[in-house]
Amino acid sequence: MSEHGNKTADELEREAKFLKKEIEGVDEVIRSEEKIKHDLEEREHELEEEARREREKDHDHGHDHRVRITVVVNGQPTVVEAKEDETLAEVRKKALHDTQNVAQPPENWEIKNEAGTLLDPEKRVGEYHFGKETTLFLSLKAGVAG
Amino acid sequence: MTAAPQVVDPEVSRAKFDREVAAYRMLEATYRKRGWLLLGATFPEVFVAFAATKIKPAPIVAAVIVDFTDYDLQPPSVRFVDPFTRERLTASNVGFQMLRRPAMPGAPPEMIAAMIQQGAIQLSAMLQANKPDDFPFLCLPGVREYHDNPAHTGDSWLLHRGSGEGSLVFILEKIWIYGADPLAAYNIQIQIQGLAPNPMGIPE
Repeated sequence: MSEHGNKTADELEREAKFLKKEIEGVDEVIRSEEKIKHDLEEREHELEEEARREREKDHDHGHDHRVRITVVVNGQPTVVEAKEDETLAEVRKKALHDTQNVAQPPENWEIKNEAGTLLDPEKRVGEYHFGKETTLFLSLKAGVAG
Repeated sequence: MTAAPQVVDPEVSRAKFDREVAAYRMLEATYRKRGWLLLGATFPEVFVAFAATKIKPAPIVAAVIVDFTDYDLQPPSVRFVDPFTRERLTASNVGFQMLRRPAMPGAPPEMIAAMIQQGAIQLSAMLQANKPDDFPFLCLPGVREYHDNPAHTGDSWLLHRGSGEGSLVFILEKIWIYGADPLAAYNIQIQIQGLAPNPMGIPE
């Protein structure tokens, strides 16, 4: 008699074979699931690679949100290629340097649009939604008179 | 005021005049949108009229001759003239103001406007004259009449020369910003002269 009751040796052998087949089936399921997992991981990696390539392509093709700003400094135009996250104060500084208008501090130059509206030098280029290009005017503040 | 003599080599002043006019011409379409009308530019004078474009129909509210004689040892002279005859105007008939308010950092524009309407802010006139029959002058550093004024002998043009002040666009822009651009409506006054009967209603 065995520990498993009154089963004979043949019965136990058949049961062992059955369990062995069951284990083989479970192994097959595990292999299949692992293959699915592997395929998904591969697809995830491909998508990440594709996203990275797209980002690089955008950068290479000038889609990094640059704005071509024609800055008219006291009537003299100069072009500044500005990033959208640059402030107008930075654009002003470049334009004054390019036109050699360095006798007055940058703060003395007001930044205006074509209509003459005063723009905030601390705001970023992107905040004004200029599009791909625009024209701004640097206007020297009137001195103290009277 | 008599015209200043040309001390600088005229060719130097002329070359600088041409440069100023060329810079203006490059952006003339933009300036025209602001109401600046370049009516003539022959050395040493540039003749520009200003229209108040926010008002419909847009009136011509001022005209100036910017004189580049002796430029830029001297700053340009600015004369307010009749836009049609180019005759120089006296303070009493120039009909144009250039007003400036003190800086009020942080104050919202609506509050500033309300204070101006209530007379709570002292505005200063940049176009000045001692008497109504005097020729008005632009009291602005970078303008010859300012630097020649006995009150400003301590503020020599040579301290400003080359800084951007005194250029054609600088001067025209200040006239526009302080004079023409703020104009937004006709100031109409209606005066009742008497009562007018309907002729049909007059009985025999």
